[in-house]
Amino acid sequence: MKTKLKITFPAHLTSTPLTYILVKEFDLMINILKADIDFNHIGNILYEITGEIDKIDLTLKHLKTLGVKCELIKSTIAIDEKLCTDCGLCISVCFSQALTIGEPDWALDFDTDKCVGCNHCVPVCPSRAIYEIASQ
Amino acid sequence: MANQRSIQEINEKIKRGVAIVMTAEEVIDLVSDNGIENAFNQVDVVTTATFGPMCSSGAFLNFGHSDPPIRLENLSLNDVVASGGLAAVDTYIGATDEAPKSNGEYGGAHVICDLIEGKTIELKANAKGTDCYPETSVKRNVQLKDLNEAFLFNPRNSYQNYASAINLSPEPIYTYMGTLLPDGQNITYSTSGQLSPLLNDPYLKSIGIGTRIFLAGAQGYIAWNGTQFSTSVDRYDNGIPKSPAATLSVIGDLKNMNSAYISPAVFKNYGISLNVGIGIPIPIVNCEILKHCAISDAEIQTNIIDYSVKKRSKPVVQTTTYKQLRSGQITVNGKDIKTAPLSSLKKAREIADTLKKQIQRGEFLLTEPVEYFSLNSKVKPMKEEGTKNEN
Repeated sequence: MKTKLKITFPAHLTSTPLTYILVKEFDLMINILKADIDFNHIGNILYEITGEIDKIDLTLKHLKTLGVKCELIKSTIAIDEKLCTDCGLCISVCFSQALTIGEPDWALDFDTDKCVGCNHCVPVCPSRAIYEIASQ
Repeated sequence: MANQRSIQEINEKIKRGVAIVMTAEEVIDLVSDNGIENAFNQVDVVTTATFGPMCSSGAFLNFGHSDPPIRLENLSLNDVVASGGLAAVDTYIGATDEAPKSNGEYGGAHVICDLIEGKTIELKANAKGTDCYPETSVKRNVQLKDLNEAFLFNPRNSYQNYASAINLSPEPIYTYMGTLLPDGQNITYSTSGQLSPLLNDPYLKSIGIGTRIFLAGAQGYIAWNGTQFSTSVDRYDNGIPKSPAATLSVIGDLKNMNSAYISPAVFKNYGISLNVGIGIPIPIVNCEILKHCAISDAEIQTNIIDYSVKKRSKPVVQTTTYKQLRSGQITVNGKDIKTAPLSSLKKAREIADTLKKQIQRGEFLLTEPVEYFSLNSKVKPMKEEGTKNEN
């Protein structure tokens, strides 16, 4: 199974090699899409992970025991269809081909699997129809 | 007479419910399958449409008089400044004015659309107080239904052949054509191409002052030529201008508008604009008019302009067609570059189709322009200090 995993780790885990643990102990294939640490030393990592369902399940349990907040997400953005005019400007900054528009109906299409969570589309949408999904 | 019919005849057919109406996309196939002469007998009206950001837009509003009366001199609507330069309780609110504390996220376009949606707007105003208008300040919560008149009046809409945009500089730039990535990584374009009103009547033979149009869901009118109206431009053999050319001033009643066809647009680090939906019916009075309506995206050429050049005249990087722009990718300087629209073709199609149905049902009659537009119009730049402008 392939999914996105978003983790938020507390300051005391900043120097723990979490990604290494996920690869070594849970045999996950990992692609880091985004990572940052804020001024309070709280870190966020957005992974794209591929692995067996059971192992992903164990991973989440293990991370939680360490005190890491984690959630499996489909995507970091959502589109308010009432606001979207299907103009297509968002695709101008979407290089993972997650957002596409074209024949036959020229309606905006969003493929969450392809979204890499860059969120460049959010400020570009003139109708403010694309928004970041808040963390739990 | 063969191959000729009058607008009056077309309107009679519309009233009888027998007029044949097609969108500017549908008519392309009709003409290519049957030829112009045969196609002429199979279509009476072609509907065109566009839906995209049109910054030069705004609305006139009249609030009715307070008691004691005030002349609104410094006024704001939801903190967006509107003109205090008209008599007493009239104002004009421009789409691009921003509310100071909104961080560029709320402006005149939002006020206009909030009114259309029936939302409550806060009117704040003050004045010096005179014998005629003694009151010096008011603060009221109003809705569209509380106003006497409220009409959109957009000085420049529906640009004929607006250029597409690229950025060849090494830094990203933030424009009304969207965010243009460095080193020419994307191209944006903004018309509905073969469905666009003024590309279907390049010489404005059927569109003029007084033409009844679909404006944001209401029946509106062309009030005048648009500002920066430029018709004496170089043209391709099919009549399509080689650079942005004609524009329209349009007017329509806010009270009949539908927020499905008009909405605010916010462009990062640029500002606020208004998405306006416009549909214009073209009466097929002769074969020449029909020939122009049948022009397809493959035959509409447009320029790709480098927006990173911070001058009035920006260089043309390449000429392309709407067919290529619509394909999602163009080769520029040997590199494949992604293209993206900023006007909604889906909405434009909805408008062309809605207008078609309104005409078929006899709810929308066609008009002969009261006055046709000049084909010799030129645009002047802003006058430089110490120079003389020609003309």
